Amino acid sequence: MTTNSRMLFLIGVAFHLLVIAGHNILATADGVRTIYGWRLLPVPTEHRLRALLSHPVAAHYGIFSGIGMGYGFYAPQVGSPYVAMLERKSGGHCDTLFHPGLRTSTGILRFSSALDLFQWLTVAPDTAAHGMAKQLVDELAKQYRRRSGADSVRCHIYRIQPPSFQRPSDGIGLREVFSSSGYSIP
Amino acid sequence: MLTHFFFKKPVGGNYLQLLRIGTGSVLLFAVLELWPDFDALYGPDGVLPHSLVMEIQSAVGLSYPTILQEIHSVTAWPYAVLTHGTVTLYAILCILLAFARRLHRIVAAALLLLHSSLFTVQPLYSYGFDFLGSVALFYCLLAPRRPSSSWARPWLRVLQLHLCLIYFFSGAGKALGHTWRNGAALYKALGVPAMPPLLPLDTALPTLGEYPFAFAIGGWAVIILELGYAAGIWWRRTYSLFLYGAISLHAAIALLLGLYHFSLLMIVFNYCAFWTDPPAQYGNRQDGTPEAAKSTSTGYRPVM
Repeated sequence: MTTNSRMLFLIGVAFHLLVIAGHNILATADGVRTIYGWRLLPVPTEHRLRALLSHPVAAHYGIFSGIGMGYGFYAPQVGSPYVAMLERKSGGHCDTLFHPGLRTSTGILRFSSALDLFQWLTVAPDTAAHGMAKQLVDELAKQYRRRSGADSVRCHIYRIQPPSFQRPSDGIGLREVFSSSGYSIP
Repeated sequence: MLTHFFFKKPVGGNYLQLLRIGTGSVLLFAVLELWPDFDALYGPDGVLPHSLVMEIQSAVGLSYPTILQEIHSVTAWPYAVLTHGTVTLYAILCILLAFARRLHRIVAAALLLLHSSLFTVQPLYSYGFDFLGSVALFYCLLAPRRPSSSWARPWLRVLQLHLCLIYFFSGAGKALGHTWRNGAALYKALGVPAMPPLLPLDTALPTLGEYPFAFAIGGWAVIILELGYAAGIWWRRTYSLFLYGAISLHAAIALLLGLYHFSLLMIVFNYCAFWTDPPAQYGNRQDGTPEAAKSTSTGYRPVM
């Protein structure tokens, strides 16, 4: 192992660790801004860091080495998961099912990750987010109708409300946040 | 000092083989479990059409839907054959990663490309486990095959530092959220587990909810463990506390929250990075005891 190869290795490691730290600092800053509304980093610093990490070299490196994410698992708070319910009508018969036909718990978990998009509706309830949510719900209903051959399918998105310390005996509740027939988000 | 940290000390154990076997096994387990739903999530006729998936999240790199379309247009093979073929190829690569030592770089590179195009380039259906899977494959690709290689130590150090950053930022994020400090986050996480857990607490949760201080203690314990790991794991006196604390935390996550794949991968990381290379070992090597001489002559701890 030569001195040059060691130097190159150390430069590479410094880049690797800085990319990890950068993504995590931004993820933490985003979390803090969402919850408390204050900024962890000054605006110019945050913009500069974001621009650096979204440079094609850093972005591709982050994706392929798996470091292009924040490690704040369940932080700064535990989000409420979302669930999709499909209401199927076929020849006068009506039935409902949760998760559009997925059979495994890992498949359902992955599908729930996609539904986390609905979190943005409560964080940033703008027209684009609503448009995307509507498209997603409509497509879910359309795809399921095509696959199941039902006459009509309506899709509802619920947010799971876990029990709280104030009312521990209430159990888990469901609150509708979106449906293919229209918005129900405040 | 930096050079000494990365290059001087000999490697503590055969973490390389453990990392390859552990990563291959966990990824194989995960993809086999996903197989029945793979077509529904990643096929073109799944729960969401590929066009919408691409619209919701722009891909950085070549994503699986694009690759699938390209192969289909060239070969005209049915999509079902292609998606099931993908899972089969992924599973074979996982097995090869674990056992074909001589081919490990080629296999790790192929598996990393496939894993990335499936899960991290277009991460709509992904969660933390998929990114950590890429991290593990990345180290399998770059680290040498033999523990006696002069590059084994430097890559072990990078893995150790990476693990410390993972825990530090995870702990820092939790410390910033008031719900972790008052225990509500822990109560919520246990109340709505990500996947069906082995030990469901749903019936006991209403009773447990009457003791919020217990959850506050639990929340603080997680914060202290994660924040303290980055420093405490390097110190001989606290090494065991943090290593076994982290492994216990992941075992609890697997049992109570149902996140088996994530927990298994984190246990593999901990085992490879720190169990094979405890800080106490350096002390033994310097004291000139027969145990130290034996440890130095073998160079690494044998794999179980």
